[in-house]
Amino acid sequence: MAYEIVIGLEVHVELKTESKLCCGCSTKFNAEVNTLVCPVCLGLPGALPVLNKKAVELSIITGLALNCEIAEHCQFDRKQYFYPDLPKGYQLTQFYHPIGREGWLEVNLAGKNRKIGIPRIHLEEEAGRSYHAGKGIIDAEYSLLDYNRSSIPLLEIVTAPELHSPQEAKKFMECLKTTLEYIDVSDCKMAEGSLRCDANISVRHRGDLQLGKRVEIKNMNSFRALEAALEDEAKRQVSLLQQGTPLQREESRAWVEEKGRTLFMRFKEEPHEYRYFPDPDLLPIEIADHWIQDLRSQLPELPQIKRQRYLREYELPAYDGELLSSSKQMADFFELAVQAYDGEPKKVSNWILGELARLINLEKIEFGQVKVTPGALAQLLTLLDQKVINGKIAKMVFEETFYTGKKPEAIVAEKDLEQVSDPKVIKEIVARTIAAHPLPVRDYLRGKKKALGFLVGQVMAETKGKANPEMVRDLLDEELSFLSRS
Amino acid sequence: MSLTEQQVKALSFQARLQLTAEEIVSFTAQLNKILQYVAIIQEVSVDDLEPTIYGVSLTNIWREDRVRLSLEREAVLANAPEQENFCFKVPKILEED
Amino acid sequence: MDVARMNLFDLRRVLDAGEISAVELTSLFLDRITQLNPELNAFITVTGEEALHSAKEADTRLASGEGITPLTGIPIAVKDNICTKGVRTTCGSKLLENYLPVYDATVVTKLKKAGAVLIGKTNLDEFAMGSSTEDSGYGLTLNPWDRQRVAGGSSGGSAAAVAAGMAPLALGSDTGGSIRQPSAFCGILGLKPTYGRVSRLGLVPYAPSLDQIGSMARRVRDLIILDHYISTYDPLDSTSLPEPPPEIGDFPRKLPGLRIGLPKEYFEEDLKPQIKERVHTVAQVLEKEGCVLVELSLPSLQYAVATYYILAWAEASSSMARYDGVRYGYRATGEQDVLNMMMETRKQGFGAEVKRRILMGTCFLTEGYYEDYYRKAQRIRALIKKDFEMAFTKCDLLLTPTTTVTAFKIGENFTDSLILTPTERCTVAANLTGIPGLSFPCGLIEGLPVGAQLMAPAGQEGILFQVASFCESVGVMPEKEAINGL
Repeated sequence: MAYEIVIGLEVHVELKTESKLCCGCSTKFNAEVNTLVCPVCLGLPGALPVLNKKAVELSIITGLALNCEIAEHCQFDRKQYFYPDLPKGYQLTQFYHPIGREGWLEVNLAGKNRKIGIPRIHLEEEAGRSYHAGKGIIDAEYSLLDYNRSSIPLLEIVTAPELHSPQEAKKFMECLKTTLEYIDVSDCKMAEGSLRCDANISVRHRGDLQLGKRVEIKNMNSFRALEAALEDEAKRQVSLLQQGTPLQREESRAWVEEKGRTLFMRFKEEPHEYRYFPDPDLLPIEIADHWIQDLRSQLPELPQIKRQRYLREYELPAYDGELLSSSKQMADFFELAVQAYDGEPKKVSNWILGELARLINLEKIEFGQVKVTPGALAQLLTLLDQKVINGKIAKMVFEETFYTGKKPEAIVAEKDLEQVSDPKVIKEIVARTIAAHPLPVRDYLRGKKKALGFLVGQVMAETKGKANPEMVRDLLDEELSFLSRS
Repeated sequence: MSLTEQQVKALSFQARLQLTAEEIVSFTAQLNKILQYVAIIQEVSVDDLEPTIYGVSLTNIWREDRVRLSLEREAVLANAPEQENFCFKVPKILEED
Repeated sequence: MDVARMNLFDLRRVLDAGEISAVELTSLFLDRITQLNPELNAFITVTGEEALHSAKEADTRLASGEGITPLTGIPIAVKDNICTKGVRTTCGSKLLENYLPVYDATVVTKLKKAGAVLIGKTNLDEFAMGSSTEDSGYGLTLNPWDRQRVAGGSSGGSAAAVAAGMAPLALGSDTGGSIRQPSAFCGILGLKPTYGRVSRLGLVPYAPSLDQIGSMARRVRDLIILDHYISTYDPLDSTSLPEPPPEIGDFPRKLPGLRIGLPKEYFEEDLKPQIKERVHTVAQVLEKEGCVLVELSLPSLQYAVATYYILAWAEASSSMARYDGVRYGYRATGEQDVLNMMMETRKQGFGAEVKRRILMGTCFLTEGYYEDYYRKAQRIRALIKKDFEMAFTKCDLLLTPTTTVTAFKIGENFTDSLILTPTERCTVAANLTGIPGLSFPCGLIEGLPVGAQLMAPAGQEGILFQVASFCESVGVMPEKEAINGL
């Protein structure tokens, strides 16, 4: 029997502001505990919130990038519950009037572009952080609280239950992350918690109209974890269906990385009574049309659009387009390099996705830390095209540029790496090489064509790799065929 | 509308107020009396009026995104009932929200 | 020198003339507090040492002749729900018995800047929830006029302190009448300013959409000066009004021709006939001066108290959520987990009235009540606002009694009808509509003071001052003061 997996995501993004949502404390990551705290974010009696305009602006920008309708009017509501990391006994959020509604994000899933619905995005404040003394939350003896994170602006992005596999969920998140990075509204670091994601998953028989009971999965700290957790949970739910014992109650489960499993946390009780009501301390926001237009005009080209343009304008293969556009920094690098270079854009793409990506992976650095400039890459490619250097030398030069930031032309000049293309010079070396290596020459003449490679290598070595390899091959071939005839 | 003792007990849990059995009985009676009194508002029809939520009718009151000095950590923890390693210390947390 | 009986003008004169130093003046008030407070219990905390210290600074200022304001060297009592840095602020609650704020309320900062001397923190019903100070965790405040009676509340401590000459001026807070009612009961003046005119930063909230800090004094001129020094735009309170308050003595209108509205609903039902008579006397005096009396009706007033209960308590249930024993204040000991610690802390820390309001307010915000009670009450709030706006097209200000009874006997409030005392009937509308309300003494009944209330459109405190000032000048206010008997 066929099963259908239904997944919806609840994403939390810490917005990239200098100060918190309702006070002037810094949002710096990893500061010493309880040093970025003031009466407001500590919930001291009598303290009052004052809204950070930038947080509202970043929310609108995100809403626009996610094709949301931006609310004309929104306000902050109090979501009330007791938890030690929640200093006021309520969280400021936008329950009744979210800042964005009815948006979507286009994601390429299984070769097809699909619009995944985003029913709402809303701005809220982050809670503090609790550390549990002991092995885990269950056997902790006591807990410690740090409020540095309290009231950092948080944007919640909710998707419709329109994702149908763990891979789709992962792909959606990657795409969302790329988009958020493009518009520069968040650091999007899952490891630091600035991008978080909970998932709701249910399984039903294909064709069923009603959704199955859903399970909420928390504690997934990477895209890989998201995929693995959903795989595990989907498998579990399918097997429950197969056994004829489908889920009876909705529950929350936590992904436990070390075990590679989701573990039961608790049943979801009646929908929690959060007693939302408008916060009287923060006044409502009216978002004027011209503000929205202004922000819209500042939006960068978004990855989906960019990808399509690359295919059209630069005639790149879909694969290249998708990879290049998956990071704004990489895409910007690509475009600048293309501008500075007269040759084919595909060559630029090859070098970025090949050599540059290899070195970045090797050194485990971020694209933003790269010392190579787009101009340097263009210069290198031009040197290659003009046959000033050969391909092998080019890789060497590029590596040096990568580590030192030096310009390829400078490296070539400094190290005298210019390609040797003078036939007279090469002919001389070829003759010397043939004389010095009678055995491989004999092998070659007896039909062992492989031996040519060895001889080419010898000539290259003698020129410290600088000889024009095609010319070397041609001249060797010429000399050897002369020998074979004689 | 009136409240049962069971409902008052549920309210007291939501509000994190431990009540004794006697308190539940007496509060139920008191709350019902209040409910009876405030029911007077059901007489009047005001559906055409927008709710007044705030004390003033200003909008878009905000500040620029600038960092201000936070409190000294000693001040943050000055009133802490219990602390350890510059954190507020609480008994173990059983529920995860 | 009998400083207790002196008004601000006289105190200013003797200070400026050097007939007495600020330190001596403060000592005299401290002596008076030592003498009277053990019985009256107007102060929860007397800040003798700090007061003498600031008095000394005031003396330096006076000697240098620089930065002298009308308040320099003048002792002021502050209600104990207004945060004072380093001086415990209990809010009348055992839960905050040892709570030391780490910041000053904006009003306190303003007063300190003006050189005023904070002499102590006054008693109140716990978290300002009550109308007699009988609900204080620190014992009730007696009425200086009759010690069998309450001083009113919740700013009963401030009212009694000023009435008994323990301080010439005091700050209170008013959510439904908490400045005006005790002022009326104790025969002094009390102003609930326009919402947003005085910063709420540092006022421990009861119901933030209704709360305002205001001034209390025995003379109109004194009230005007204190009001002037606390009124300010505060960027740290989002609900603060941007317009600056008018200058002292800026009386915009002439009395002749001024239309004084007498809304009939305020003179009906349970109003004590002698109070009606006293207020009518005030009306006649004004008429004689050329004011025009306008009879009018505010039909929605009958819903005001119910509306106030719903809104104030709903907000209160949320305001009280932060007292969970985690970061400050009392914590129940011996509990094994955080949930029980919170439940027990709040059980032991809060008094019965606060618990009742938390429970009721929690109920109003739950599903099933939210629309029919909370939202409906907000719509009625709009209706009441509309009615008042309409009334102010027919008149320039309203004259009503402040309370329907004079100060009641201790314990009288605690019948089984519990909350439904008539004391809030005349005062809550000013909070619901955000307009200023001023109570001034207008005579005695059986030796107990009666209060008349003036209300004007938002921002028009000036007109209230002007009328009150006239009434004072023609002897409407009783010659006798509580001080005389003490």
